[in-house]
Amino acid sequence: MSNDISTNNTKTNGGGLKSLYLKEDWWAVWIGLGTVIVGLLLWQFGGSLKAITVSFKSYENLAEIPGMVAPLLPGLVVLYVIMAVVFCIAMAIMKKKVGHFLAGFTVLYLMAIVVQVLGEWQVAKTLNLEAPVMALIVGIILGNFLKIPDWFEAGMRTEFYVKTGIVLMGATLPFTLILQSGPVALLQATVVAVSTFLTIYFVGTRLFKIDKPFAATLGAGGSICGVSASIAIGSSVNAKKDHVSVSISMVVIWATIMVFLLPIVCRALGLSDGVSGALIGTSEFADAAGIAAAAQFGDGAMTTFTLMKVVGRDIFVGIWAFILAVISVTMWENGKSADGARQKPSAGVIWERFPKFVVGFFIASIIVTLVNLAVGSPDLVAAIDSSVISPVKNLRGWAFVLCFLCIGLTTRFRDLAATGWKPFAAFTIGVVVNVALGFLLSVFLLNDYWTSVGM
Amino acid sequence: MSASKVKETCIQSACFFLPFFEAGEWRRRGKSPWKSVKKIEGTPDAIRELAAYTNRCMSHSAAVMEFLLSIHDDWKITVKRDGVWMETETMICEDILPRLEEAGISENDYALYSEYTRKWGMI
Repeated sequence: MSNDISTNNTKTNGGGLKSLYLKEDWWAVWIGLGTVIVGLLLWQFGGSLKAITVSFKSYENLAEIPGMVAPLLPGLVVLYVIMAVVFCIAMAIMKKKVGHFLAGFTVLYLMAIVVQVLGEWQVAKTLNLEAPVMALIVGIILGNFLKIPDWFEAGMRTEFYVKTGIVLMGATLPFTLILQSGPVALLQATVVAVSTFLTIYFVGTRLFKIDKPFAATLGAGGSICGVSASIAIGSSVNAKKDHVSVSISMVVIWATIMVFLLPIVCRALGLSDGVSGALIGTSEFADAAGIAAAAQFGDGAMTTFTLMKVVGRDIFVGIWAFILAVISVTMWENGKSADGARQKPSAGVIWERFPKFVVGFFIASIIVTLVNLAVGSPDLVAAIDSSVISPVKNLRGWAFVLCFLCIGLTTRFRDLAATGWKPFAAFTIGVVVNVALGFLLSVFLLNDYWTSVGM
Repeated sequence: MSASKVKETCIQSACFFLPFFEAGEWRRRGKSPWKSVKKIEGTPDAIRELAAYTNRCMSHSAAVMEFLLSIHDDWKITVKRDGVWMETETMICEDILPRLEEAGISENDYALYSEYTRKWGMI
């Protein structure tokens, strides 16, 4: 039985303590936290993670590229070796094909260098084609026009890279900020997620007469966390395979449109970084796609995006799954021999579906915040910022560029399910509500708040 | 929407749980005698009844297991203390359920968990 693709959703495969070393989610936690701890230890003993980071400088003329890249080559090799070794160890323990992964990762790493170099070109910057967008576009073009070999597919682990990046992001966000702004993000995200879910569900079931489990799976994809939510809720309500396939396709189509559309709207309206991140975090339902959109702005956008998406929405997928499983068994099945909802609901599903990388995100934030509080002196805090946080941001950037390339390379429009117009219409109405509400809350009601958080 | 037009974007893992100590009580909002075992009268007859109940449950589970193995040969089977897990990614539950019904196997004899994973990378 094929076990090449793993998420945090499978029930019996690698459950319990085994999941700590068999699931990508946990490996993202170990790698992210390990990086932060190694960074702090190096700083303690007078070193720095900077030794393994590489940044590209801006340039005006393409002829400058060799001169800019040549001095960085030793650093690029060191970074490649470290990342390859760490990732390959994870893949080996997760029982994946290490040789295939290494080959795929190597090509992906080379592509990450190319898109970052091109993204630093002043002309590209003027056209807003910086590394994140460049990676997406290059990936989409290659993925849709070339046949990607199987060995390369093994290196394209979109979720693994994005989850590792999110754990590293935790180290760059003070826990005090999460405590302070988390509740506002949670409130905004909940209002929008619940409204969007109910819109898709009721439009789907009442207006278009589609199955309740199908409508719930569509609604979850459009309101909680994209493909992950469609999979989690589809599993919880025992939706049919075709229906989950269609829901995933809807998410991929709209998430890809939003990656390009939302940043254009934010720029056209001159929104601040903080507000742009909040809007994207509220209205882009897929994590990786949302990060690709938010990364087109500054750190402030990444901060508000993360608060909104990770803190406000992602952590509730398990609760949604449990509630819908109970509704499915007690109300939809209603004593009849229904064709779907046959599983026994259990509160354990809340933890089972919980995105574990979020645990790493919070722990990374708590560790760095406590260390900063412990050292006390502003000089030492600045030293930690320079020796630990800056390099962590750089490594986070690499993880995200790898992820953006994977998004593009694996978003093959020809492989998406034929959706039918009814699910498409229901989902699209939900997207309109999602964006309109997100805009109302981020831009009109909480503009000053999100601007200040993103400063 | 025609099913034949739908391209797969996910993998379904049809996972059947065949319980040793339950016979669908949870579905009827009842309680398996094993859940209230501490409250039963400690008499030899009560224990015999519990043994007979368990025997029926385990026999049903064995029969369902036998049937599932007869209609498909690619199962990952895990035996745990409270029952048997049978999981496959090569036959979907939409095809298995009608066969179970035809064979007269009641949904009280199993719990079905259909788990989904991404078929390819994606967002």
